[in-house]
Amino acid sequence: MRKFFYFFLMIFFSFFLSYAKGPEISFEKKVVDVGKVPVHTKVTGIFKFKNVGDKKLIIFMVKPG
Amino acid sequence: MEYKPGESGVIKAFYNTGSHSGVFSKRIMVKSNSVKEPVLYLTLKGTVYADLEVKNNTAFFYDLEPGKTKRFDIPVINNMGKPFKIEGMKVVFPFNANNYFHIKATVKKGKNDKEFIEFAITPKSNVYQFRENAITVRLKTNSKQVPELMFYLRTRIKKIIEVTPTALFMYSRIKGKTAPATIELSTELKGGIKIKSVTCKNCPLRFKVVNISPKTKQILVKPDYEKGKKGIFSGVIKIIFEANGEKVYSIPVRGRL
Repeated sequence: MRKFFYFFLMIFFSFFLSYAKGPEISFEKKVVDVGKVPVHTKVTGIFKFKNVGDKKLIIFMVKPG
Repeated sequence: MEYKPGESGVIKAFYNTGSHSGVFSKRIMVKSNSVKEPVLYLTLKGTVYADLEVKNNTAFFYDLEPGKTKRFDIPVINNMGKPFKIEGMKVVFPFNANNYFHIKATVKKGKNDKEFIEFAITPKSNVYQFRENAITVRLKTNSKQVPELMFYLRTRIKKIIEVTPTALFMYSRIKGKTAPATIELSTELKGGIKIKSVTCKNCPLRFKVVNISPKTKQILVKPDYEKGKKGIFSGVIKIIFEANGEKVYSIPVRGRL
């Protein structure tokens, strides 16, 4: 029983560590609904985000699909 | 791109709406060195609409009768803000459909001011060739975005008359005498057929009309040994009948007494 207890403690601790350290990306909205759009038009969706972590955030790639 | 702690940024996604109306939803993948979500997906969604939308583009005319008009309605969703008008109609296929049908398309308003296209088809009398067909029709509209609408009109004309066989051969024999034969006439018209007379010049034959139902008749053809002499005979049986007007059908006959 004690072994299990230590194991869970380890997991919790590690989670806590990861939450505190490192960059973190957070979006205002992950889904943007543009509503009704006519045919043959260009639609733009704007996704705002913020780095809420405590280290530099690097975005490697943004890709459709 | 690098962002310091507390700094914010923007990802812009562009999407070209095509020619099709309906719901769209596009996914964008973002990869970063974020600890919690190194790979995440954003979605851009919406609904595309056209000025004119037609849910079904096929009209069915399956019980046409020559000389009688049938109508079919196709609802139209109008997003133009002005009333929908048809400015012209062209039959694309088959090219000679206008010789056999009167085709008309008009815009009408139904309940709740909903607009629909009403197709009216009148087959000209004596249309035998166009029994089953799909007519392709192109309509010109008063919308700039959707200048043309295509429609398929599936037609089926009721059979005026079907005769089996189309030619009689009376060579088979039973007990040394020529075997009798039958001609069957059937129609799909509601009124049925009435046979007025069956005649054959220079044939040693007797005819008897049998009523099976108002829509089908049988003609028994028996050899008449008193009338003609033995040998080979040939001629044309003329059947005068009434179905959507008086008509004549002729069947060639050959045989041996």
